[in-house]
Amino acid sequence: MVLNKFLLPERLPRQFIYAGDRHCEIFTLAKNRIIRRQRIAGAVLAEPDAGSWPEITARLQPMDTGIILNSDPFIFNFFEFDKLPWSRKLLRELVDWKLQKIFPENIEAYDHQFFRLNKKKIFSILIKKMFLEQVESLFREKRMPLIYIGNSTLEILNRLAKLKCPPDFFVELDNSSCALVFQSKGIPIYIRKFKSGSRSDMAAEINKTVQFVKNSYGCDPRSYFFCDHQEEVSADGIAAELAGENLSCRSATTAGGTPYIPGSQ
Amino acid sequence: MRKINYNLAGTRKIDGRAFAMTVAILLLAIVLFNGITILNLARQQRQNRIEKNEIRFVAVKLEELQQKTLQQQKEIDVWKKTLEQKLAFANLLIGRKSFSFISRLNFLEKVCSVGMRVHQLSITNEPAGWMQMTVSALTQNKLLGLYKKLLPYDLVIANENQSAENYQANLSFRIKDETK
Repeated sequence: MVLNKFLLPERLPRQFIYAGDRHCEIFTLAKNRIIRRQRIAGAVLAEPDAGSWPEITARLQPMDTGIILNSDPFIFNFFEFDKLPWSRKLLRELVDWKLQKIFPENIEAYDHQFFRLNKKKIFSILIKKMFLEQVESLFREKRMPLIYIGNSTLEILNRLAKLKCPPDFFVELDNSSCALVFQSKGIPIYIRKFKSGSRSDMAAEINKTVQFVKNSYGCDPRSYFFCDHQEEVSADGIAAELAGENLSCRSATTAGGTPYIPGSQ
Repeated sequence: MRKINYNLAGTRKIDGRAFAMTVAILLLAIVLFNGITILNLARQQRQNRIEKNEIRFVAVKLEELQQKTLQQQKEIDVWKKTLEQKLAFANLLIGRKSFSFISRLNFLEKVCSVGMRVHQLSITNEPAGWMQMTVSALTQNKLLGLYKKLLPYDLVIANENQSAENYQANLSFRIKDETK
């Protein structure tokens, strides 16, 4: 699999749609730079039946396209084992078995992918197959090549992994959606998604989560990044509230302006 | 952390440029490794050739030495044969004790008393070989005295002549045990 990635590297599209919470944003890239950015407020790609599709396609250029979905449709899990088998097949069986113990729904209905974080830890990601099929069929109908479907949180995580001094956690804000990703020694240890109505509630939830991670994972998260998908800068209020809890917000520009868009600088 | 490659799209496209680069790098690596292999092989072959030449030279030298050894062995064999012959001859001589004729002469000198003359003497140069001699004496008694002395030695009197001045006889005898 790794050899495949090395020998047959995938081409990144030059057009991305970020499918956010009650909005979409179309990015056009050239030479790793975003040359065009169009925000479509109220457009919900994550719900193909919502009727936003014609509006989105009207703005798309006929070229290879990718979709970056926010964390809403995804289910993240971390599994820890005493020892991980080398065989991919055995590992899948082991992870599936572990997942079945905690996952109440039918796993067959989900696309399940997992990644080896270290010798003991597995990062598992689930998304409904039906949802993926719906999105792909929309593009197929428009004869638009859809060559990338990714997740913004993972893209940010990948981008932060390149930093010499990554933050202890990052907050991905998208309207009422919020994803918190905590890292320790360069690997993610805890992800929490939640929805919140107000900024102060969001700050309180973040603080609670920080305390939870502090107590449960034996680490002391201090620094964080904000990755805000809002048009107007909305994270400042939260940052101000979190500053009172000894949490320092670092500038996310070190990770690039749009770290959730793969291939952009 | 290793990069998490997460792409759920059913249709993906290969990055031609990156693929070409990867292939080019792989090809270059293959060419490089082949080149290194060829160089190493060539160097090894050259070394082998040098070693083969050295071995051939040593083999030729060895063969020469073997030939020389064979020749020397042959010479040794010839010498051995000659020496053996010489030794056999020497042993034969020792066996024959041919050197004892002096003692025979000494014996003659001892047995011939004053007034006797040995005119002719022939010695067979072999152990216990016959001695023939012509001897003359002034008196017959002296001749008889000689006969007495030679009796133990198989004395054969071939003839005896008497002239005006002396008595002459042809005698033959042999000394069987020359150590005496």
